[in-house]
Amino acid sequence: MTPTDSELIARVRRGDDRSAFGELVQRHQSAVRNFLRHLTRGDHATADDLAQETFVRAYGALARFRGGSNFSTWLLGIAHNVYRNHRRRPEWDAARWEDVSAGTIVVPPSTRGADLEHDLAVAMSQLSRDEQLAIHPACRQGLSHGEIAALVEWPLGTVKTHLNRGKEKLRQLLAAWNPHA
Amino acid sequence: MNQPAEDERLHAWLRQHAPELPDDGFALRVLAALPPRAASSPRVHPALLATCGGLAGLVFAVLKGARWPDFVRAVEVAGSVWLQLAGAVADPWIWAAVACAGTALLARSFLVRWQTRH
Repeated sequence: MTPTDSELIARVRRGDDRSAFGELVQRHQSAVRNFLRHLTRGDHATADDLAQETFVRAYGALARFRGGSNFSTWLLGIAHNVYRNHRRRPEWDAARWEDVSAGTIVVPPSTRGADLEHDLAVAMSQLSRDEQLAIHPACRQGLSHGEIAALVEWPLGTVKTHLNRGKEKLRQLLAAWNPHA
Repeated sequence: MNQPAEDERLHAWLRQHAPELPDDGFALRVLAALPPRAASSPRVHPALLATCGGLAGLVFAVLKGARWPDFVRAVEVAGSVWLQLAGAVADPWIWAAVACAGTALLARSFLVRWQTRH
């Protein structure tokens, strides 16, 4: 039988079982790397470096994981902190990560007629960083508004605002896929 | 336009089209980057250690020819040392030093928690 996350965590805590931690990494790497790829706007190399740092930190802090939240939510919280710390470093190229100007939605011509997956990726890239930060865990990870608020340390109202704005933009950007629009 | 249905469709699209990234050796890289294992040291209960130490001392003293009056004298000496220590603790500077050490330990504990969080 496949062990649960809690059982693997207990094994790591009890005896520094690295194979159990490896199993946890394999289970959650996709969610963490995807989350960081969104935050870094598709810079896969940086996202993977930050994801690695996230798991190394999680390993060190595993003794303090109380199980009050989902393990994947806890990991995303660490990933968000790692990303924020990375942004504070002097080598951070702020200009590259500027938000898309609010209110201006541009659908690149190349997306018209392309497949939905591609259109979704392009539409997501049109959102501001904060909108992506709210949309990604809500829609892709299934986190509640409260969990997102705890994850990114925003007030609940701010989470809802960014979610609604992000969804509205996505609806407009993906209108071609909606036969009733 | 039916907004909840739109929302549901959006959520479903995003869920279905979230690419599942293959591990491609990522987990191995993470494991290689983990800090080295702490040297495992056998854990001995402190009470057991103290009892064994006391017994060893007693056996050593008896083998050296110590008698009961010697033990009584040793206890008296230990008592006088304790009284001197108690006198020293009454000094407010000692309390100030203890408070400083306690604050430093607490600060370190908070710092470790903060670093873990950030």
